Amino acid sequence: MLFNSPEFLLFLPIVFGLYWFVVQRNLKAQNVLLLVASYVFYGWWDWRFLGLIAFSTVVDFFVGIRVAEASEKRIKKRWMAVSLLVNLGLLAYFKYANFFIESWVDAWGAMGITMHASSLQVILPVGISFYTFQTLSYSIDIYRGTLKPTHSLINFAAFVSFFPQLVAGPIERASRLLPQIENKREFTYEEGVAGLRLILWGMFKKVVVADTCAIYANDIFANYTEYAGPTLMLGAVYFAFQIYGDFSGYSDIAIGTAKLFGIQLMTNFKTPYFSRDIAEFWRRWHISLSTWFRDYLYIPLGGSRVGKWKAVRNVFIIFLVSGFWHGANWTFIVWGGIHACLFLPLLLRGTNRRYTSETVGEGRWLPSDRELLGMAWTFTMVCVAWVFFRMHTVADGIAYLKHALSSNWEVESLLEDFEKIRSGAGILKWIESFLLLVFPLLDFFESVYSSRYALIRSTSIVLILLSSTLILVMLQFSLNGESNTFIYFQF
Amino acid sequence: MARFLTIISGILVAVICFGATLAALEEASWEDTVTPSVKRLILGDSHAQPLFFSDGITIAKGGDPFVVSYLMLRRILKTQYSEQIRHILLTVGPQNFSSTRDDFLISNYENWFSGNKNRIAHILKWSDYLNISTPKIPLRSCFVHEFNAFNRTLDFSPAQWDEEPRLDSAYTALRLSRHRVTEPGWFQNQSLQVEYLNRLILLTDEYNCSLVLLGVPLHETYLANTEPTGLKKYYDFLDSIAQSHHHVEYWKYEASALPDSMFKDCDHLNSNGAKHFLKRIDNQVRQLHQTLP
Repeated sequence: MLFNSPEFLLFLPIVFGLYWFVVQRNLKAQNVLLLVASYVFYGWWDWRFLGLIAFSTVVDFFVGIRVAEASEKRIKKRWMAVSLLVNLGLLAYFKYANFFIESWVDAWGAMGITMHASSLQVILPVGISFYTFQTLSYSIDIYRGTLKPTHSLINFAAFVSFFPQLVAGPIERASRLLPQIENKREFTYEEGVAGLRLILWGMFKKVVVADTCAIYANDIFANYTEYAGPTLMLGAVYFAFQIYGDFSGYSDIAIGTAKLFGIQLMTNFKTPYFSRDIAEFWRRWHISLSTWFRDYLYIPLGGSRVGKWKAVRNVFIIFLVSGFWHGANWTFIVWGGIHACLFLPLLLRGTNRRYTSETVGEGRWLPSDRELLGMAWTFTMVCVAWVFFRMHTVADGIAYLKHALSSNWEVESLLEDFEKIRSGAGILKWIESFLLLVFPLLDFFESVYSSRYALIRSTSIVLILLSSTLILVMLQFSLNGESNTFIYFQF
Repeated sequence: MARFLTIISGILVAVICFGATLAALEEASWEDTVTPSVKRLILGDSHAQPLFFSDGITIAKGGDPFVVSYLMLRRILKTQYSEQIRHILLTVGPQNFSSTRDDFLISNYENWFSGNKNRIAHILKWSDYLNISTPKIPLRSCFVHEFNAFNRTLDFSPAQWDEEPRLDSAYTALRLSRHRVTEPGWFQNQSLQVEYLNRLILLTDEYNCSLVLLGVPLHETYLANTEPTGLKKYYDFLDSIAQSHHHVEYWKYEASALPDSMFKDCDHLNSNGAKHFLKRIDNQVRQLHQTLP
């Protein structure tokens, strides 16, 4: 079920009503309801894959108990291996089997040996990368002794499948989410309104920003040989806004929906396009994934507190694995590689933690020249990397960038190209296409100042007017444009 | 909780009120569509957009399938029937009878068509929607368009296409592939399009109007690349319709050899071409007017 579908508009109030008005006095019943709702939510897409979540849940539930009960390190390790094998095995089979087969055939082909292998035609279950990481973190935390296992299968299953974040994150840690599921939740007006605000803002980012940017990005990337250099650069920018609007929009809706059920999820994005260097970008982009890799891969490998060469190796490992996590394609690995190359100089100079403040230009009206330059450089390089993320092959990505740099760079050609893209769409569409480019500013102000001038403190009338205006704007866009699924569903 | 639910209810009421206002405005926009001077209507898709008679109105938008033309005409004839309206001209072309239209109508994901899909739903309204047999148009479209803030359904001004013709082979190939007329077996006479063409024929008969199926000129490259068996079937089909209904005529102008300067692209006339074409059929229109009771 998609957040931006009519089914969800019915689903959410029904579950909300049952949760707070029918089973509100019984925690167990509330958790059963959450579990059933989550399975319905997921099964709406394809009920056959519910078995996969159930299997992963049951395995890690018992592994967690066995690991905690085991007195010997050897036995703990054995049970941990079971969890790793099952979770990574499922991921490898469903997500990477075809990639490995094809790469194997290609590698032999490059040496002149022709091999014939039929691909497995495996369907990628939605959200598998998210929930397997969530269950893995549970087992690893118990193994490390930082978490006690739950003895309630229902609570654990509700934690694994909690519907707001099941298919595209944020990837929650058991140490954060499980206690909330095991304890009584209260509904407060402030949390309800904050949830509503996040849901509406997330929908706005998805429906208005991401889906509209997609029109431009899809056209430019599909026909990049026909367009001039500035248009291709703008195409990468549109894709950057599309993927941000899409993914952060989803996260906002997930966090907002969870709030309606009295549950707090972690922040997943903090205005990443205002980052002053790539290290700061990764502290602001897909935070739940980057911290997952930091805690469960980077630090166990030694992080940056090892020799220089090992630190370099660790950086490459974490970025390449992060790229590979996104999909079984070399383009994602190249994307990760670019980020690793950008991060490396900061690490070697010891400046990777220079910018740790909450927002750029904090306490001042405007950022400094140095900060502005840093933001421009970081954003440009992030856009270059997005080209590979968006393309189907690495060769296409290189060709796109080559074409962007070598073709016509006159402003007229940009205007001509836009006329072609939005042929016959009228002046409003022209305005829209350029207004989209200031979206990050709007997002920045929303993110930074919304808590200061919070809607929570607004009067009911103001709240109603603001919310209904936002809904009408979204309806207008969703009706005239293309409705897309969320990009991160494919990961 | 009570305060939160009040807010939610308030938002719902505000959105519903806004939607209801738009629906009322949309209803009002249909009033007085047909002035006493209107004698003919031109219906169709983008091929009809540049066509315009001084004593008529053109109701057409790019990609409009026959279901839109049918519902528009039905609404006008039912609510504002005037004995002056004697002729209905409906543009036809190969693209109307390939799988393109039906697929686009049913699919949720074709951007190119989404605007029209919504418009269809808009016109259908709930009762009309329920009357449609097969295939169904997604309910979502029906529902959501009721809240469309910029209603451009009733825009009767003819399209002004004065730009340079786009007749390069790449764009022609794109147009042909969109129309899906190069593949063998492209012609389909069992489709939603045909169903609504038949309804249009019955409707015009009911109101004593003549229906002209107007084959708009196509560029020679378009015809040369259209799969010939399908093209023959297309011509035969329209001929047979004209022969079997006393009030229907088929004016076959698809293969009129017009110069490149009269085209917008391989299958659309530009404004200049449209003027030229209307002059060419003017006599035929006059004759048609005389033959009617």
